[in-house]
Amino acid sequence: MDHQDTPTGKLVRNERRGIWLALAVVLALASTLAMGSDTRRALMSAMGIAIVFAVSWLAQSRMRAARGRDREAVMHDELRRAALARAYRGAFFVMLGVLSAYCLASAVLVFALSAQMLAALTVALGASAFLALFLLFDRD
Amino acid sequence: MRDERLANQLRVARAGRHLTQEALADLIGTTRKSINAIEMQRMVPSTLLALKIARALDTSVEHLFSLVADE
Repeated sequence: MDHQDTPTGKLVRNERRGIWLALAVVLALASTLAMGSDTRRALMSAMGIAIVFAVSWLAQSRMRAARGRDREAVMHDELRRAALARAYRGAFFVMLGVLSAYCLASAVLVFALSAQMLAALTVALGASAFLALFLLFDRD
Repeated sequence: MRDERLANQLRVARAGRHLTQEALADLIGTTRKSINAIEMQRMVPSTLLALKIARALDTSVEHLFSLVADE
């Protein structure tokens, strides 16, 4: 029997598929953001990322509504919880590191980034780092 | 101070009971990924999970887990 066909295996696989999709959408939005510099595009991208997270939250709600024992096994899985904690921490330090580097670099270089663009890029970076790190730490 | 790490006999004990990783995970209410991560020594289980594993395999935590000197 394929081990992925167990109920918990299916839940885990669906969750990972959703996270891969969310990461792809966030990266696509971030790349469109990097291509232009107008404020409207920055706001649209930030909204897009917010939508991705809203959809992820809804998917989590579906997981919560799944059958009791399997859902409990996945939601309280120790590897998953450890991966979430490490991914949050990692994404936080990635954002701090990049913003610090930007601060230092802007002392010697001139960047043509608006405040909105910088904020949207930070959101995109933090979201991508979190999703990618979670996928990495929670891998099989 | 000498560095130590957690080693385990989980794979051996599980095989001795003819249990797959999925079957053991199902018995203790976790996922196969966690069982695999513990066996591969990529994750240190909580006391609660270690006790559940020991109970499912009808053995003691000390038999499954031990401290070894880190090389």
